[in-house]
Amino acid sequence: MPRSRTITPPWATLFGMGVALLLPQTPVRAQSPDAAAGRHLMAQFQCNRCHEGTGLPAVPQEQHCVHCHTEILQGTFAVAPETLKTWQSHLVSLNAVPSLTAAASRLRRQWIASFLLHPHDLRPGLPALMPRLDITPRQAQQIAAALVPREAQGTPPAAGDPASGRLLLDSLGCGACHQFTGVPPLRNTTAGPPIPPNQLRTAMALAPDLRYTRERFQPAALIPWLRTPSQVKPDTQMPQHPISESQAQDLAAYILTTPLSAQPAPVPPARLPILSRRVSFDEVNERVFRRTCWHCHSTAAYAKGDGGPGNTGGFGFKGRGFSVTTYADVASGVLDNQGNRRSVFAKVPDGTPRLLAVLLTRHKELAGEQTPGLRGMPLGLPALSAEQIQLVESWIAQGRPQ
Amino acid sequence: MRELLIWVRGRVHPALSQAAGSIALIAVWTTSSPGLACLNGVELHRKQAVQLANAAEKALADGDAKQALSMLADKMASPEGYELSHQGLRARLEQLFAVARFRAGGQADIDDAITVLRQQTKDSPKNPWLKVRLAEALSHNAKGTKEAVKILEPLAKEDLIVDAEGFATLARLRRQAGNAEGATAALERCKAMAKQPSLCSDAPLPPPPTAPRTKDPSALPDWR
Repeated sequence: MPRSRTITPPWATLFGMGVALLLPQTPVRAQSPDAAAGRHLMAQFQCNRCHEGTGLPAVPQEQHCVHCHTEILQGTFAVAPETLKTWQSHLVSLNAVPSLTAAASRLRRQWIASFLLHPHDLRPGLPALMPRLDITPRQAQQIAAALVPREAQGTPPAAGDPASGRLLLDSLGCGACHQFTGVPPLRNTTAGPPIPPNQLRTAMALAPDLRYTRERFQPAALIPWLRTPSQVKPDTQMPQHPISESQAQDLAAYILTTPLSAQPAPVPPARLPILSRRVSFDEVNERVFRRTCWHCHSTAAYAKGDGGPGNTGGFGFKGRGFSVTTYADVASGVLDNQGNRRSVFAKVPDGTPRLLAVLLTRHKELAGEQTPGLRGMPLGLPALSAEQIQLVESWIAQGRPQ
Repeated sequence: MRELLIWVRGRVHPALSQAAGSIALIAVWTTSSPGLACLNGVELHRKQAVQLANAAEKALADGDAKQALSMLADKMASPEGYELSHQGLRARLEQLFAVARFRAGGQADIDDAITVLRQQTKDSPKNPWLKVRLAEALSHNAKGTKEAVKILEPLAKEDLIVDAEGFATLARLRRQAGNAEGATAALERCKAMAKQPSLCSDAPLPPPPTAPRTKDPSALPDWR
């Protein structure tokens, strides 16, 4: 039986073309290659181990830094009560981390790329900082493209009155949470909508230094943010103040244009002399390794999750096989790029043992200086104190007493 | 239940009945139930295993290999046997058991320990601790000293001898080879590290005690 054939009359074809041309064009927003690559990189660098709002699947509980710490502080972590109490007394970092929700509606893509390459202290209320990842400029651009596929096209804020903006900043009590370095200190009041105490604590921790707003924020995004922050970013801690459009413009004018005085870079503390008393591994372990380093440099055989990013790998870092669990583990060194073991006491070019060198490098990083070939430790955390570094240095100089 | 079993067996083909029984047994063997005994072997909880490893490591670090051997043998060579599903922890306990055996056991224990450590080193060739322990075990046998030197000298060059016992072994081997200067240097490193300076000696080791071989877990019947 012959197949039937439908013949479309010419008028129908013309009619269809006309309708198609007249209909409003809905652009097909294809993901750019950079954004697609950026999403893979976000998974590779495990952004979701700290940050919510990445769009990535959730990681197992034992890999989520903030969830673990939150459980400990809330007392719901499954461990003996006396251990919990000890941990709670030590825990100061990674209780709150900014979410990446609605980054696309607020942040500048170029700023994100720059911040990934040169993380700095953006949030004075948080002890931890963005870690300095093993990331190339191209990768940073791709991640930024994934987070901000397209910046807002609206117009920057109309010229407001900076002086009025400053008065408003003070009267609204923005200084209760925010610092604004480089300008006269904000008034710390409790004016404005009351914030529940636990939310206030988190808000204070996460509030960025307003100094950086002019680099971070998409200009067209600032007014909506100031007026209705939760509509821009539903999980924000920032309270909503009933301000008018012109008041928001005054605030924006002050925040974006007021001259800033230069910020002096933190000065690394002077190195303390080698101790004459014997320093044992037990002491260094208790005051330094177990307190700070063990989280990333533990052993998979003992830790609930894995050996940590510094041992079995994570955050985009290859597994370097370095554990501080026992004396012998520390003495067993790290894996180099060829997979061979190298002592952490081997000297870097200036004669400093590598373990000591990375601790000193962290201070330099916080002062804005990156050292080629060395990554400051502890990663993403405040540098060790001069006394802690003195302890490690003394222990090494004395021949590493067990 | 018994009547049901009889009824089923009377109506089901014998081969099918045997297959069903086998499947049931396999299900029992493979079901991971930490709280239950697997036939006669008891699953060692991760926490217990970590505590045991920590205690044994401490005993060894304090120079009390006999105590370490006793507590490890109690668990690992007991008639009940043990199961430990975490591979990393199991390997760790086996390593510690081997160390305790060559430090406190008789000749048979030394030989067994060398076998275990050699295999573990083969599985983890980049592990300096294992290499040092293997060298230390080998140094207890006259025929093992050459191999022990071959292991330790490159580690010494890279500053990867992991502890005082490793340097004491190196000092002893260098002294045996007539390298007095090298032996002294190794002893100095040992003394700087050691909790107990008495361990830092390059004198030849005493012969191993005449002791029965500690029961080897691999020699236990496999009840699975």
